[in-house]
Amino acid sequence: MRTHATQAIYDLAREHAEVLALTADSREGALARMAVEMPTRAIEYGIAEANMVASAAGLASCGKIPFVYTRTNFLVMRAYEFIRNDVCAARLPVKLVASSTGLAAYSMGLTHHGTEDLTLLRSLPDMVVMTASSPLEAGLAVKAMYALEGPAYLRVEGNGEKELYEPGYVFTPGRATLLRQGRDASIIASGGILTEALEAAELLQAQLGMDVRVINMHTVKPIDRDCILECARDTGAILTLEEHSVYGGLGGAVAEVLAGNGQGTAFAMTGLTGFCTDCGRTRQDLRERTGLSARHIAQRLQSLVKSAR
Amino acid sequence: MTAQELKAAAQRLRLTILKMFYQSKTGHMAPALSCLDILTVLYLGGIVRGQKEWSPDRDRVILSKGHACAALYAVLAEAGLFPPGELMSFYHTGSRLHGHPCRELPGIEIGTGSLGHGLCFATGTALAAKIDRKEYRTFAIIGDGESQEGSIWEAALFASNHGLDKLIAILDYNGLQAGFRTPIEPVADKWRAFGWDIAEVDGHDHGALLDLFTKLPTDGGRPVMIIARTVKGKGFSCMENHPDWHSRAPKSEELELCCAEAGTSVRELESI
Repeated sequence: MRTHATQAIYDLAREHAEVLALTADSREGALARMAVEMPTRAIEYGIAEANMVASAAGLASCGKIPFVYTRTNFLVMRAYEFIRNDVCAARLPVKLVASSTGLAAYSMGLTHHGTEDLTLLRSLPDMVVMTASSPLEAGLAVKAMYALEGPAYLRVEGNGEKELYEPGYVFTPGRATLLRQGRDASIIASGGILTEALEAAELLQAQLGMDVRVINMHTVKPIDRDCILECARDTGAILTLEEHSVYGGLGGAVAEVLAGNGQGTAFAMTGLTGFCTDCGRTRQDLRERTGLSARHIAQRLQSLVKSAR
Repeated sequence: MTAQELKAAAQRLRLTILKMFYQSKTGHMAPALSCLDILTVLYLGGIVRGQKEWSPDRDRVILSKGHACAALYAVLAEAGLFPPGELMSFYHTGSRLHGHPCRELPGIEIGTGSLGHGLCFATGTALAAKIDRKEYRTFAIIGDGESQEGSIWEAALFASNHGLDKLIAILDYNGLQAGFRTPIEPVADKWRAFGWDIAEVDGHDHGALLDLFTKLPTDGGRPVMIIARTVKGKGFSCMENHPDWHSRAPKSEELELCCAEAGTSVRELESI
């Protein structure tokens, strides 16, 4: 996804003079090329994220549209108050693009797992919060950020994620994407972890004949309420899934909608319940060890549906 | 305005500020008084351009030490950015004059209050001018206490690495923070080592400030740090250099003393 996201920033910069790319020693993919071809518009801030984010707000106040690109925690956590005061409170069009989200930096250790960002950003007024789930969607989401008026945040995880969409896929912020139709239960997920959701749905179909709907809730805020309520009404059971803390992320956002309107929908959240302190040789290893693999999800959904009956 | 006229204007604004705090009963009075003369010269001395029309090419002014906002409010009203009558709504419910500046008030580029943000924001406006080859300058007023924030030094390094010569930081160096004397010496050496051009000035000498701001070179390829030596609570002996006054307003008996020192009376003050 990183390759596609940075390429999309490059493309936007080619097309629109006000687009800038800001990095904190995180210039990669097409951004390296941008630095050569458009040197005044690819700005290297060094390893100093707080200054970078407030500076982006200053640039935006002068008519620029800065895309700020670096790893999740350094961007969101290190510079959080700067995002709040300088970007959000001023409603400035700063576009935050975070790499290494979720467990994408599987072998790098705890400091590099971006697993609380959704919780933090969802609480900021006027911030649009999105998660890309495939290379194509990452590029489309970056382009959608440009079109949005105010501040926006996008998680683009790592590289090598599976493509889930055909060319021509239409990405609309705030409108969830149906990935698999079903009527027995729903999995609402976002990000690259959707591959696990789809595999879990296949497993349940094959083993139990369960017909599972899979929704890509790429925009966590503002969330697609209609889609959630439709899943509740049509399938009666919803499992959320995210490569993120279960506290206050996608699951929390879905729960907030259901709490007022769910009418007894069976509901459970899958995600991280604590820090992931494991090292993984692969991302899949970590998903296995944290209970986020297809087989875990299939079990969770099966017991959720059973408990509802 | 001439230096003499600026001095008189600042004295008038000191009384306005006294009255603002007398009615608000709270707020950061002494920090405002330490940068009042600097702000007066910037806005009323014709240094800052394009503010009233809010031109896209206006000089940017960012009060990074946002708690000193009373001085900025008084000067902005005097410069005609909003009606002076609004000044007495300082700290009131529904007012645009919050305890720290908010963007809803004309003349405010960015809300400040949390320290260590304004100078970072200012690197962005200064960089935008550079990218667009515009002449507008960015003035950022920072505090000495604020200089303990790490982000100040992130901005310092970035500004010099990127040759932001349209960025002028002004250090309101009154030597005191909320609880103790600010330990930032040798401060000029620090900024010089970070690649800034340094100027030092008496932050209450209107002539010296006007002279310095007028002749300011902003094409030397380096950002400029003006170290302005100031007195916290300047103008009122009960507060000058007194740490207790970081965030408080005068009580009735203190008000009488302040008025006497300023050559006025409480009755006269109330008629302002």
